[in-house]
Amino acid sequence: MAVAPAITVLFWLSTATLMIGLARRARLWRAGQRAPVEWAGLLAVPKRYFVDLHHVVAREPYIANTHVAVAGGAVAAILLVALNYGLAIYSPILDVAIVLAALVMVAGVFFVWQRRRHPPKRLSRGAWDRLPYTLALFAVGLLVVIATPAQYLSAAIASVALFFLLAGSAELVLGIGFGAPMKHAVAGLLHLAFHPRPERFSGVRSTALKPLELEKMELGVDAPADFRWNQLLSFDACVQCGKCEQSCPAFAAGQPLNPKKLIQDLVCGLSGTSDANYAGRPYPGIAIGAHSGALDNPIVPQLIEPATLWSCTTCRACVEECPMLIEHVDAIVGMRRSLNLTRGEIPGTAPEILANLRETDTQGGYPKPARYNWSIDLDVPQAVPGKPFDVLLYAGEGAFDMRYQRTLRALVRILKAAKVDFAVLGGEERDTGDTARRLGDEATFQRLAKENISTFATLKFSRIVTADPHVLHSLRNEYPALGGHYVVVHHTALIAELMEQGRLSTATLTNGKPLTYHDPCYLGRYNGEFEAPRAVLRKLGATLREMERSGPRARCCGGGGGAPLTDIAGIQRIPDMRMADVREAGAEIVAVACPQCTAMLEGVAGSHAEVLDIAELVASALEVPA
Amino acid sequence: MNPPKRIDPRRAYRVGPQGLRRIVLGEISVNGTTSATVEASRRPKAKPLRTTIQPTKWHMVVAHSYRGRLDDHAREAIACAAILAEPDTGVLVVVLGTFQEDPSPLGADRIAIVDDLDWSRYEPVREEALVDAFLQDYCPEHIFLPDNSLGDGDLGRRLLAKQQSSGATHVIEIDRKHIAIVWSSGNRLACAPLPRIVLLDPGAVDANLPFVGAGEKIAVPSTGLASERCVDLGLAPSKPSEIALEEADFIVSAGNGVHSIATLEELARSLDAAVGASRVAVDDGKLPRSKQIGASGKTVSATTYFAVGISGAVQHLQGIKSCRHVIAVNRDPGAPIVKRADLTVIADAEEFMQALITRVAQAREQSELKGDSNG
Amino acid sequence: MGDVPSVAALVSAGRHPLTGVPRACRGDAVAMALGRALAGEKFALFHIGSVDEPSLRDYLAYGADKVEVIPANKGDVDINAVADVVKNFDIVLTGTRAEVAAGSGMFPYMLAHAMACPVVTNALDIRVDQSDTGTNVVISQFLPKGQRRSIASATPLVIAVHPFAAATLKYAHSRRVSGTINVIGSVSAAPARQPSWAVEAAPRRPVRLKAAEKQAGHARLLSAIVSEAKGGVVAFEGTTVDKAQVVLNYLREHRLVDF
Ligand SMILES: Cc1cc2nc3c(=O)[nH]c(=O)nc-3n(C[C@H](O)[C@H](O)[C@H](O)COP(=O)(O)OP(=O)(O)OC[C@H]3O[C@@H](n4cnc5c(N)ncnc54)[C@H](O)[C@@H]3O)c2cc1C
Ligand code: SF4
Ligand code: SF4
Repeated sequence: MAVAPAITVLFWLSTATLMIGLARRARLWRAGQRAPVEWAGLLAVPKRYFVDLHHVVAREPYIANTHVAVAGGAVAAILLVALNYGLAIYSPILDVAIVLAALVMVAGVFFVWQRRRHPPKRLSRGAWDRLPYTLALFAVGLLVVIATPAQYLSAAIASVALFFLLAGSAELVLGIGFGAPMKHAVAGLLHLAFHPRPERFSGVRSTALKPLELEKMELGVDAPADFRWNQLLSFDACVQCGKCEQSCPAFAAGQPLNPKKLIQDLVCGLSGTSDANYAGRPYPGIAIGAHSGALDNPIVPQLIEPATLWSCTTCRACVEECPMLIEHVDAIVGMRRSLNLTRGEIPGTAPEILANLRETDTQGGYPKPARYNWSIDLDVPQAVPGKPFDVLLYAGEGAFDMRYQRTLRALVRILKAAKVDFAVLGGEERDTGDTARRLGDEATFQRLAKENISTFATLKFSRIVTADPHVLHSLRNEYPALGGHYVVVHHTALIAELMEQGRLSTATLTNGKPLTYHDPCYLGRYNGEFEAPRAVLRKLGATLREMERSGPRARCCGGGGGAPLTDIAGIQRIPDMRMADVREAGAEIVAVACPQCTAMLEGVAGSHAEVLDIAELVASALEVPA
Repeated sequence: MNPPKRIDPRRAYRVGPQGLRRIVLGEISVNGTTSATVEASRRPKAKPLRTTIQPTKWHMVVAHSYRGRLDDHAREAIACAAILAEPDTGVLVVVLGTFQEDPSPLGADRIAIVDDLDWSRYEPVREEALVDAFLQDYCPEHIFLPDNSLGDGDLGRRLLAKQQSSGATHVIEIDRKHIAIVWSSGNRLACAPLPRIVLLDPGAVDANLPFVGAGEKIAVPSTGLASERCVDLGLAPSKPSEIALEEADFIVSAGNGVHSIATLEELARSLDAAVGASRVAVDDGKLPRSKQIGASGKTVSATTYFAVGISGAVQHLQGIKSCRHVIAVNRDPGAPIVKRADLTVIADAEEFMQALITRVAQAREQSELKGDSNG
Repeated sequence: MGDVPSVAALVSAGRHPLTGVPRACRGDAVAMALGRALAGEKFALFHIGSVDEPSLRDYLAYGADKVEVIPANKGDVDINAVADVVKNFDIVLTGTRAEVAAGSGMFPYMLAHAMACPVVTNALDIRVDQSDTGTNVVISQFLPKGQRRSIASATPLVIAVHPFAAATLKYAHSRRVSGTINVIGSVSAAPARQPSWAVEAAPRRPVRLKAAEKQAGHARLLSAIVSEAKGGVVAFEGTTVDKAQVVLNYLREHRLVDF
């Protein structure tokens, strides 16, 4: 019986189906806004897939190996089929290779099935649950059709096997057109090729938000079609693995946010469907099935409730964990921008803070000169044009906070002890605009940034030091797009450097209390600085008791992204959970390196570990030369 | 024989800026008796009359009473009229609403009490007619009103708009020659010569007078029927507990140290106070989110803030920055609220609230008895 | 529901009290928001002053589609001319107090006087009932200690809105740039009715008026100590009943309770 031509027919039929489906889906993506992309990205896909994507997936070896087996086997088998049957070569040797690939795939599918029997809660069910079966049909069908010697292949068996193959192929090729699970394969590969942040693939931590062109009335994302087309494509790449959900502090606190659901909702918006078919955990407190979207319909509140967007702390834990390298924070801020810039609908005390920023250039509504009240008695030099100095100390909003002033004062002692040539901006310092930007107020951010940049332009210094990672992030990563290029260091990095150079002599910490370190999101995940604070603590003779979630996977304190201002209610508070992490690590001191973290962790009610900034720890151990 | 005077080492003290305790001279002692020294200096017996000369000119004050009393703000306006008066100038006070107190200590030489133009009624035309009648009779050199929202600020502005005479509102500084106001809501003042009509902001005048007025009660001229253009549909009764916190003048606030919200609400009721809360109390579901006071809640400007079982975290204190009197109840004398509070009671919240509820009830009863015998 | 009333709101140029940065005067913006909610299409926003006044854009951001500017010089304007511009509106709204200059709160009174119509101030909420006898406006008026009064009035009338009025202000950048500012008519200057203020150069605290008092040195010293004794009396001795008495004494001494 001539199965081979049947396979050829089936192959071309499938390929055609896939192409039609892809074209249909691509039409949806193309409803998005233009984005600068490099077609060369297509060539980079194998590297991006095997190196960058697998770097994330490999954090969980079980599923990494399983995926290599299933996807690797399937891709190999399909390519070989394309060669052998698609081109009608019908070589027996290639058949052997196909059989081997299919066997690998079968092995992989077995493990998929194993896992799907008792799936972790973060995985979506629904259509995803059928994958082990449909993929098995494909692999087994292919095996039987190709590996069975012709004399044994009865018409009955052949037709059953071909039917298996057909069913399995249907899962593979219809996915993209119908938005079924297997769309992730095609969309995922294209997403790797046209990723909105291609820098990520050259080892750069690309975390800066992209500026809006306000003059062109670019005002953020109101409807799905306002996303850039490659963002829409990226949502389709989601495999609903729930890694983001598992790492999301807002979700854990019971606030109405689940990054996985958010991406799925955007897929609903893209494809014009309701969220009724979503089979994962919901946004806490918001029922599934009541929301739907369409490409040109406003997203909020028909598709996504505003509270969902305002719950996000922009901690990037989800982005860090996402195996498909999806950029949740860009999407969330994009939608916040529209709410802010076109509707002015922002909850909590955030509208007041934004008004303060517009009217006083400070968040608290203080007169600018009051920012330097903390240093009045410290004899800190003020930067003046025409008098060059080495380091500009940028205090940030924390300077108005009595608690954080202790950190700043400690830092000044350290800088003086190390004889650093530094100065502060005095009453000339404005807010960096970071908080405004996270809250979607791009107009205020850009105004503040431009005004700061022109202030900096009048001064001569070699670098900026700040104790506030949010300041660090906006000055270092986000000002360049507006024309401000500076060397910006975090105070922990500067202290580490001064220690390294032997310019600071410190004793070991005397009290010997067990200590842990909390990584600020905007220092760690946003800027990749995990080592300097730890190096400083080691120099102080501290034995760090690391929390389970630390370094790149650290849990947010809840203070970022303006979340304390929008203050969306949950079941518990994010800092309380973080303080529980501290307790679990057995620490009595939690070393911090950020004013937000300090405020959030100190705001935990009841008795808890002492919260001390690294600058305070160093200052307390300073050996002042007699 | 008097026992030798000794300073009780545990007597009341206050905490200075550095956190040092300072014993307060003549401050109230714990058992509630008031030390004589302070009071004596404040309330010298038998103050003299301001003037014995028969007045030829007049200063007039118009103010609404509230529940039969004139509040501090109104007293300041009267004191202002008296302080600025020459010996031959009399002080005429027109009280709109009931008033039973002795008017002399306020500095009033003549007082007209218009019982039926109480603050709770809205009859602007009749009010104006009445004031006009006094203006005709007395031709006062200056007219003073407290610039409040009890009706006097409104009445004063009506007069100003109608009379073609000079006047100023929101006056925060005053003497015989000049007045000053806050300019552009900032921190600079602007001055002008003393005008005829002056609407005073609270705090511009010290109402304590070293003299008394003649305090003669006079009849109210009849004004005939006025036809009002607006219809007064009456007051909407409001429960103190439902008052929006931003408006409340007295707030009793619950923190983590309060276990029975029922007791706290009862205390609030007995003091006519609104109920507030710290974030922890709200998070625990003891009170709704709308009651939260602090950085992420409401900013309040009550005159009296009663913090029960609240530690006084900075985020909470941010919300009560402009409260004049902060009273705290806490078990822990080291809690940060102690530094902020004007009076702290170290006690168990529940026990203390019960005791205060009882004491307030007694005090109210006694004062009503007294009030009855007065009237 | 009958006809919607026509509503005009008059807004002033706001300035932040500390920085002087131009902004919508908060109270006036609330009046505007209330007016927009009340009249929809039949709402108009006016400003008397300069077309170039930077704070006007803020009113656009807070929701107005357009601002009509009646050009006038700084200082005094002829209130009768202003009355002329708004005389055809059923309701004219103003804020309670301007943020710049004296902020006397006199404007609504002068305007009502010029228009010969009633003025109701401290309005928190405005409702409009249409009946055969005409338009009846019901105003909920702010009174201290959380109390509210309802006042009914026929139109036309002037209403000054209290800053606590129930209106949420939503600031949107897009409206700021897309709204329009038009010039209409002009208002001639009129002789000053307000005192001419001399603004002091340096910030200072106002001096409280005090009666001259002849007091012994010791008594003065004592009263000085007492008046400075702000903050930090701590009572931790005695029974709870004693402590309750301490609190009651404090409340009575400072006249915080009326019993
Ligand atoms: C970004 C941010 C924003 C915040 N915003 C706010 C805000 O808006 N408002 C706010 O209130 N908080 C806010 N907080 C929280 C704040 O930091 C504190 O955690 C909170 O105010 C503490 O509330 P509490 O004083 O009721 O509780 P606790 O700190 O637990 O204090 C309870 C107090 O009651 C006393 N006490 C206990 N039992 C008794 C008893 N039986 N009798 C008498 N006294 C007793 C204790 O001595 C203690 O002093 C915020 C925190 C952060 C980080
Ligand atoms: S967004 Fe990423 S991490 Fe989240 S479910 Fe989808 S693929 Fe997984
Ligand atoms: S950035 Fe953080 S808070 Fe926001 S969705 Fe991602 S994990 Fe959740």
